[in-house]
Amino acid sequence: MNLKLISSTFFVCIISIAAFSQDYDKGEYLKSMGNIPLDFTKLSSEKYQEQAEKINKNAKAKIKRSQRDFLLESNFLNDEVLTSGEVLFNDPLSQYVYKVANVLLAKNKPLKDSLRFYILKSSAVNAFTTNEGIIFVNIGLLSHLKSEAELAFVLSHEIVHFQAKHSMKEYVDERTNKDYKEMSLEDRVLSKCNFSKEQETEADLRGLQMYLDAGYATESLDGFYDLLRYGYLPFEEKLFKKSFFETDNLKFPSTYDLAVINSVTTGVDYDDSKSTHPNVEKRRSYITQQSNVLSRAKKGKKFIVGEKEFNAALKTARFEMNRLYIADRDYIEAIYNSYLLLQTNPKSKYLKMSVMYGLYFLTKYHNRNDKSDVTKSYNDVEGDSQPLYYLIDQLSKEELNATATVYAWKLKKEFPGNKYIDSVAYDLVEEMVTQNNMKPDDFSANPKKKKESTNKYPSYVKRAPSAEELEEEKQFMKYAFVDILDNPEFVKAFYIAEQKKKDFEIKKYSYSYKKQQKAKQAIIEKKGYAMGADKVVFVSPDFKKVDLRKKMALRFMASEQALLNFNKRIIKTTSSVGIQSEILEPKAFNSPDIQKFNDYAVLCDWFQESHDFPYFSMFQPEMEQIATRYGTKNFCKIGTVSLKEKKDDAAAFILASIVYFPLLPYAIYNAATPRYYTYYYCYVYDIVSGKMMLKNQNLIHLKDQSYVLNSNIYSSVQQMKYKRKQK
Amino acid sequence: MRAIYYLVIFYFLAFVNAQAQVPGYMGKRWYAYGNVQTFFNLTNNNQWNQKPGVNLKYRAGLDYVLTKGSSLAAEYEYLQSAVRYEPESAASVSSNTSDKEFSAMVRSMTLGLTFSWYNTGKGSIAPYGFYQQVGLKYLLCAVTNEFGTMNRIRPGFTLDNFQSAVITYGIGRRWIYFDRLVFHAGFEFGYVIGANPLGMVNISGSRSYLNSDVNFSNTINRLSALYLVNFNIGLGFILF
Repeated sequence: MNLKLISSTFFVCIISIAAFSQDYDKGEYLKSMGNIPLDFTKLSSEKYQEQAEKINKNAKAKIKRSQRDFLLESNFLNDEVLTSGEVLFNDPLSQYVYKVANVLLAKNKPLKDSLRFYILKSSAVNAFTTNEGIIFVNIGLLSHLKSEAELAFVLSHEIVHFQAKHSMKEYVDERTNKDYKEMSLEDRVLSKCNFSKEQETEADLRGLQMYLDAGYATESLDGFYDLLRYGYLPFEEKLFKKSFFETDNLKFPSTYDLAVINSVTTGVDYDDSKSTHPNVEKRRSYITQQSNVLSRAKKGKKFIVGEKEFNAALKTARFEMNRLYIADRDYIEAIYNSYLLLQTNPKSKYLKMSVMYGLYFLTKYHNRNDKSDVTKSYNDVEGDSQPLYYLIDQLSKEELNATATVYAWKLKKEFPGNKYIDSVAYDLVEEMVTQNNMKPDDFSANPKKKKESTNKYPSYVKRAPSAEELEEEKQFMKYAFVDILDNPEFVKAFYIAEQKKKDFEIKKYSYSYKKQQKAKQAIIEKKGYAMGADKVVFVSPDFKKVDLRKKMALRFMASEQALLNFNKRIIKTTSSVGIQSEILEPKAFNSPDIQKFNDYAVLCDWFQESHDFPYFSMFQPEMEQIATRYGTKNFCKIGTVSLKEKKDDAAAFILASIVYFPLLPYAIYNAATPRYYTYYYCYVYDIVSGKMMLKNQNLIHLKDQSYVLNSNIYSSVQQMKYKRKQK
Repeated sequence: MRAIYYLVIFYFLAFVNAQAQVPGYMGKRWYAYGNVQTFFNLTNNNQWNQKPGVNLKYRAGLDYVLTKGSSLAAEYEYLQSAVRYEPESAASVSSNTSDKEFSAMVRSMTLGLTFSWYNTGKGSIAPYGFYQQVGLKYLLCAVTNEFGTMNRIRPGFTLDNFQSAVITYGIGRRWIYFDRLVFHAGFEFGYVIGANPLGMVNISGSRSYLNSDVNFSNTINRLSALYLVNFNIGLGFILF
């Protein structure tokens, strides 16, 4: 036994324990662990060159060129995913996926060694493989699983795609097939889809063999196809009841109940001729047929790694979905996901806070008339979550605001001393006052008097409410805060908000204030920002070179080289200006920099979440930790897009030069050179307050030459450092 | 892939320039430069044989960046050119003196200020990018018997001194290399106050008509032709 083996065994044990100790209530979210794999840190150009060397030199020139193009695109685009901050490795979910993959590949070590399995932080029910042997499994897919065997079939399907190099074959076929070029657009689509469907069928069939060989049960195959068919639905169907938000005194009108719920209507016999994947039901029946042939004598298992581990992974995936939904602004999905999970975890603070954040952001958007940006029509929703969509649709701005406020203050009472709940609760009251002109007097401090029943019929007979009753129901808002109005803190919050509103209105109509603001803005426009920062962290600087004259417009290799130089410029400029700086970028990380990697991932989520209004983020606790760790609150997104395109005035100058010959040299130069654009942007955020501290963006009609970039970066950095003297 | 193109297009469509800028190139606001201005002699011929020639002027200046989009330069400019010249006295010339012999050398020096404004809408930032400029200059010139064509006047003798003012307008572009060198190129149009760049007093048919006004006009018109249109190319050095 060597030391390496002992330590790796110990590490796996720690990971396994971690899988069962993921406590979301304590803020323990999914994080990558261990050393950063080379996939994340190696330059894309190096990966490409290594693989390009392996291309068969005896192949036809056209095929070789297509293969090189494929490898170029594939390596760079995969790296975009790997460095997006959305990929997890060595976390409990990845570890679990590895365990299932090990069962499948137990007899094929070389194949096992050539594959890597990562988790993608996406709510979509999907998994995909890359030509380089990376299999990404989405959290959305894991959250929808019913058994380990379903995951095993997904993995075996993806492994076959890798083994058979399907993605490269499809790419090369499309570019080298002579017939393909002569086809009409529609025929091309059909041809491409047919080719893709053949590959999917092959992956299903060969995957089935691998799946059955590993000892998994044939009956779970149905679950896999259900997963494909119903993946767009939540992980479980449970009728949403509006009583979820109701209290003793907050009762929604009966008209907010959806009378008829859309049933799940996924067509079984849909036309798959223009689809890249065969019809799910066709796949199901074909594979069921094949599985009967292949495993006549076998009786497989649903769980080989173990049911307990599966359940732990499933729970983690489902809990993690809330964070994904909120970062993606799918607030109603986040609420419904929490609603489902609260059935089995009724005390979870994390889930309740997810509901609170969902309502909070819906309120914010609704109050600004932007609700449609973050919701979809309830008519487009199927199944048991539809009543929730309907309820949110029916609630007016004031009603939604009040509902969110009641929920937040209820939570505040349940979890006292939680500053994040407090912040949201206070902000919601402020929203009520400033956005909806609501006052404490609008609400009753006493509960609604219960009328004596005038129902002449037996209690089991349901009757429609009378017009009078309906009118009364509409007044439900009046009693929403009966439970809270006696709380002095709530009343104080109201008065603070009212005071703020008054101050704001005084300022709004004050000439001197307006003048002051105008002057402030003019100074920023003329002289720039003055942040007075000592240190700034640059999060994943970006550089894209695009040549619209070329077939492959995004110039991958040039972009990567330009990015490396861009990073050097940032460091050089910040040090010359006298400001401390750090670049958080996966390609610049060393293998042990796991803390930085995780910080980077959370920052990516946070940047993704950002809104146009002041808000309290779900990622606030992590942001505070990151700010402390890096010794600054200032985090910057910086980048450049450099674009080349054909000039449209070349012919005009040539004609002009015929009339006036001295113009000829310029006309030739003009025709021979492209038009350049360089777009530069730099935003600095205070990650604790969520405020944007600096916003520089410049569209430059010049080439991305060194001096153009240097001067723009310098200008931004100077504004970060400079502190304006207070008069 | 397509998504990336859309993203790029989105970037370009969605944002307007909203960037305040620290003046100068990386904080450095002064730069010194020299340039040559040249163009075909389009109008007022400097020579007696009416053959087209090339104009040349030399300029040195010191530029100070005022704001993100403007700069002010102090400039010195020098030029020399042959010019038709009638001696004051008829005795100075023999009766068979040809037109060729009525030539003198004009040397001119201008001192002035040039204000440049940059096309910030296209992302130019002083001192680089696309610019337009206007200049106002004091012009001082001396006419000398450089060619020795005037009898009884020693070669090199100063025949006359004139003064005027020049207004210029230019367009061009500046590039920066190695964070220090500024290369610039463009066109400049100028007008010498009191001149008619297209006109020239013809004296060939009236030798006996001697007038200092004619000499002044010829000189000024000649200088004006030198300022009329010029291709401007030069090199500068960012100081501090």
